[in-house]
Amino acid sequence: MRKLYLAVSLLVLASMVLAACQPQQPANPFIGSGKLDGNGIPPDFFADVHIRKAFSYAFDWETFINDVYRGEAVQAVSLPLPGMPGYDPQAPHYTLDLAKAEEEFKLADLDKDGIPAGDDPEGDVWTTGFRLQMLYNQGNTTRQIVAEIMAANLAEINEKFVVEILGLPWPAYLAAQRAKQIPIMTAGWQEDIHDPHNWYQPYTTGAYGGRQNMPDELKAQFKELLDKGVAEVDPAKRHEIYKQFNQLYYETAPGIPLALATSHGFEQKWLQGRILNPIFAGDYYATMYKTEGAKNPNTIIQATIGDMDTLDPALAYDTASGEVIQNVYETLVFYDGIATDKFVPQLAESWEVSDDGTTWTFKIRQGVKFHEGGDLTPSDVAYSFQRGLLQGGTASPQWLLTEPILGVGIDDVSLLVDEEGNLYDDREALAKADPAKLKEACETVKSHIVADDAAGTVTFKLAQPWGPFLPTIANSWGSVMDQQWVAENGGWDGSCDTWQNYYAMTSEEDPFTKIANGTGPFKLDHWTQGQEIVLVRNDAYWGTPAKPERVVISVIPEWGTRFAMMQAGDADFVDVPVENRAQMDALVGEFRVYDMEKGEYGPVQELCKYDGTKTGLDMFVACKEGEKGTGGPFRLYIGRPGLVMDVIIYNFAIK
Amino acid sequence: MTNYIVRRLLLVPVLLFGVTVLIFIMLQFLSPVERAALYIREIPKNERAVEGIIKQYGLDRPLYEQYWRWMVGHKDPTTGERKGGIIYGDFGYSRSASQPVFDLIRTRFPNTLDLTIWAIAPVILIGIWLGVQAAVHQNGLIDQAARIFSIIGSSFPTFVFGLLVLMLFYAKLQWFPPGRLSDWANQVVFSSEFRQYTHLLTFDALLNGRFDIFLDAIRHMVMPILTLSYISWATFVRVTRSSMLETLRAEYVTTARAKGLPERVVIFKHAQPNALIPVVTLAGFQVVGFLGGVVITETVFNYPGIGSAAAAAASQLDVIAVLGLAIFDGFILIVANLIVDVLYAVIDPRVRLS
Amino acid sequence: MSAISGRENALSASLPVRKIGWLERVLGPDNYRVFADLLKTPASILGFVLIGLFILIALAAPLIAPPVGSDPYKIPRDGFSSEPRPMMSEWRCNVPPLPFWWKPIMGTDQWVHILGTAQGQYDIFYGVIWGTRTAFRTGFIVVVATLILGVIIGSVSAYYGGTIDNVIMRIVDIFMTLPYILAALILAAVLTPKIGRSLLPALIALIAFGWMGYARIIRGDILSIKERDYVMAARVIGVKDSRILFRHILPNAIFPTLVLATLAIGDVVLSFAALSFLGIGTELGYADWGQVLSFARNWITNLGTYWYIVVWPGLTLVLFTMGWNLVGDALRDVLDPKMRGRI
Repeated sequence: MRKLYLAVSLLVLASMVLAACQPQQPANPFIGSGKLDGNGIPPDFFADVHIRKAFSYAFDWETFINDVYRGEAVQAVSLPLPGMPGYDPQAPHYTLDLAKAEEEFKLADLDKDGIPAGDDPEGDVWTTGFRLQMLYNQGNTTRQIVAEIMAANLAEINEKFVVEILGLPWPAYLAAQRAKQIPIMTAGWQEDIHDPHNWYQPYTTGAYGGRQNMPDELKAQFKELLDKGVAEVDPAKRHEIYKQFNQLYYETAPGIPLALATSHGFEQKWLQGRILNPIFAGDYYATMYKTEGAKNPNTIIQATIGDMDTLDPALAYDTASGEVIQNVYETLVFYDGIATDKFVPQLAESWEVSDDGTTWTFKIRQGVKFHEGGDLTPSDVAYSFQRGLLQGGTASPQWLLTEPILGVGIDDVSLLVDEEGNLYDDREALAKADPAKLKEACETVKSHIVADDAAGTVTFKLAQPWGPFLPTIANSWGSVMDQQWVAENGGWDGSCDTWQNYYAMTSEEDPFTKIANGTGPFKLDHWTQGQEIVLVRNDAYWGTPAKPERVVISVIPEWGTRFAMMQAGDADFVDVPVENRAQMDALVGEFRVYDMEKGEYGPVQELCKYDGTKTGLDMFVACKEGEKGTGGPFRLYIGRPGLVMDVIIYNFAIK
Repeated sequence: MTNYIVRRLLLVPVLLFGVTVLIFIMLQFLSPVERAALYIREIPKNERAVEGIIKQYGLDRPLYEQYWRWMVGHKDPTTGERKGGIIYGDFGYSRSASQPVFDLIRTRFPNTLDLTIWAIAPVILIGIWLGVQAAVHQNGLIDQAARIFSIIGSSFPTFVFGLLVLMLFYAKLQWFPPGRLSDWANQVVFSSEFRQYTHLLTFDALLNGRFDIFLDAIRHMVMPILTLSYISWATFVRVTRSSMLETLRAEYVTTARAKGLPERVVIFKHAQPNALIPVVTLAGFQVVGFLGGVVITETVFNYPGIGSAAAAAASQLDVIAVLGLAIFDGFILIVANLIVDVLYAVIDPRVRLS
Repeated sequence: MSAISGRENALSASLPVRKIGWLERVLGPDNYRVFADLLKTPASILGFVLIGLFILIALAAPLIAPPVGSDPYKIPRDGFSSEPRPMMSEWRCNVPPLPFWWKPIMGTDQWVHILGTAQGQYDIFYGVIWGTRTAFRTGFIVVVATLILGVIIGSVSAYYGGTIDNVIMRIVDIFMTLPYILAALILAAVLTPKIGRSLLPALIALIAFGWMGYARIIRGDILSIKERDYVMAARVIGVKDSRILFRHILPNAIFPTLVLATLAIGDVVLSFAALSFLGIGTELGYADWGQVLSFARNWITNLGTYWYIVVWPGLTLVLFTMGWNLVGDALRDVLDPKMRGRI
């Protein structure tokens, strides 16, 4: 026995020794040799604007749209979406032109000898060629196809241009991206708020653009236009500013905007009343109902790919959590039906904004009760926003609120305590900071959001004028919680002495991950993690009661099973990945096409013929007078431009 | 015998410790950023989010310190209370399953146990019966069919068979659905009127007097059991058949026949019990295998057992969940193996436990 | 007195003498017997035929399905659209060179997707043909590596006995306590960020958790042989330990292990396919049967139309494994009849 323990302790020792020698960081494997010798690329490969332009000319949008989206997408010519200031179908943009791409390659000067590659006798990129690896995260077939299109076209221009396509598992992909090793990748942005600022910023100075290592002058140019655009409230003036932005983006080509997919949603024919608003996190269930002959007539059943993360509105940033919060909690304002830019009162009856655009005052509705019985007061509203800001954390969506309320550039409350940014996400260190500074930070936050219970209003004092303030607070992070209930259940009590103990909580530490008490049309019945989420109707709702009695959201990661559920009628609608649309299309019985002018979906048309070999709307042929339809069980919604766009981005300075 | 059992049991903590060390060594290959990838699903919108996660979960601490913290827990800096530590029974929190690991095991294992219990009869009994029939009617039609069946069965990938079964019985015929329970049954089970005595849904349904829920649960288990059966029968038929054939050639069987005993008595009273000895071991190992969680079958049929939980945790590199599940699984396997070995010794007096 | 010469003599005239073929002379009588017995039953002949067929396909892969581009293990794609196309549909873009046997048989220059395409327009025929090479590669590498690893560890453990044996067997126990698929999943998931490309992580994972069976068996056999008379005699004479191990013990102990190994090739290929199906095995678009089958995952309910995605790779997988299983069975029956029924 003694010998046994000796052996085991040797094992432990060995593992400790192994742990102590950390694996060495390998040289960047994605840039080949790292030099311009035909077998790799130099780290500043993409710093040359001609290279970037050449790549832009080498992408084949048509094949991409036809093969991936089956014709149901339109090339993105600028960063914002249709209907927004800055959206300009006539904006300057690149198209597939291999001749121009060749020209640009020949104008590039990578060996920095002042002579463009086409004329360079010593050989530059045109004669030596290059080799690099284009990455995508494993499982994302769209991004793989983007890479393959690029690789194929570049090889056609010059067979010495070798682009290898590599699919990395998610942890490796994240690590490579953080280490700034990826030379070129496709990045997808899903908007948080429906505003051009939320599109221009991520791809130039924000989430993605910030990681591209762009030269400072370029960043400054973008930032200038960005700040001007967001401070301006008049849409026409914003449009002019953003048009300049489009021009700058075209000339410097820091990325290649790909395509905007249009909607292609399915549901059972018996389902009615569904509001298909792309800005919603998921669906809004209160208005849905089923017609005669439906399975489970009082329950709406949805099958999704993934489970939600947390029910705490201050922390939730993923769609799955957002969907449940949207139905259980409520915000001050909400979207008007399927419009993405019109708002109707929800918990706020009315609002007004001061002339300089920095002070927003909301009149709060009376007589609203929380599910657990508490009354809604303006203090609850102010408390909810303060709590969110003070809880902060970089994993949360709070940066969307700190920027307008505390100032552009401040993306987390910890910056108020330490401007250097050393306290990000570090609750332990924050708790040890100077108590006076802590209290001051809390008081600052409280001073920006003031409740007046007597007058029944809440006033927001923004740090600068913010055009898109309503869209900013209309999503899940603008939900209102019951202060008393939160304090009773282990949350912040509202005092400036204790806020630091709740800073940057992870979803498992957060006491409100699994419980919910909102004012919305549904209550949380139970959440079996990894399995299903069940909501039941709130019969004490202040507004029109919800139509369904129950809502069941099943978590089914396997597409085959979701599809089988739809066919069996066990689900009313499911998540359909792009590559599987064809299977569902074959079973469509009626469809509605989005009318761009009217801004809504057209009337229901029966489907007479589905032709999978065509693309786009041509696939679906409506029945004429007297014709009988295919009788398929599903209804299809088609044609509305979505809110997700991929952009190919370059790494200007690869490590 | 007692000596043997005690010695084997004493090894259990050592083995489990070794397993966890093994897993930690494997995880040594991952950098903190790669481990942080578990907590986010796509490139975070904020540059600092990843560092934040590394800090919050202590992913950059040296490996032995992380192991120690996992073993004995740590003090929460703000409240001062001790949190975590597996020796106190806190298995930690699983990110991929969004719940504490202990809850994950508690909710998933009964499903696997349920499936195993109901699979024993079809898999083992029918498998043995087929093998015996094949041996008894050697070279007859049954024998040939059984041998072909066994060869094909052991060459067939589980997932392909599972997918074909799903397509036929669910999508086309709509007889047996995947998953654990239908929605209406789920409603009842989660309501207050249903008492969960054993957490095994089938038995609880009977104890609560709900025969309809019992039937629903069985219905959902048909496809996984069918898949498991098909693959197992192949092995059972082959082993039972050869073992039976060998026994039928033994001298005491010839003697029994010579004595004039009817053939039925010879086969079922003298040959079969002895022939089944190696089969019992095999059956034991099959049960052990089922208890450990059949990953592929559970994944294909969306059956919420320990296997699919482990697969999900492993593919997302959810370290804490993997460790907790490995310990639990390992424990079950060791104990079950011990039971099988002891049973074997009990059945066959010729076996000496060393 | 009759003349006694080499060929004809009185003895041979009265006793029947068996004619010895050239094969028997080459192999030696014992081995020849093994060989002949192997080919006795129809089952084993079928097994050998199947394996022979697969070897032919693997060797002739570039001729049967010519590759496109620099990496022949990347299945060529006819465009990118997601809907699979039926068998014999024409090849539109990215067409590989025409195989030499196409024109004489079919008479046209148009290359088609003989077995149709899977989701993403991956040619199934190409995947099945080149997948044979992958299957052989992975099967052999994993089996040989696990065999060597298992034999070394098992022999060391058995020969030295005592503490070393104890410790090593505990380590084997630890490895066996981890459920196989779970362990392989973890290791493959951990290694892929580091190593990145294709087969290696899954191979290493299968090797790391596949050697235990061999170690145990070889240890058991060596332990039993160790006590035999001729080994003890050798030790008494003073023969070196290693020489005893290699010349006397191992050759006798290795047979059961070899039999297990043959049977295992089929299992390894199945496990590899399972890992690919779960998403860990090979890269998307790699010529591997499990990889092609994983495309079918999303189209199961449309199996009426898309049956070819599952049937052809599935059939090849089944036949391959079956071939090895039949050969392994026959081998076992011949080499060690006592083992019949034990494994």
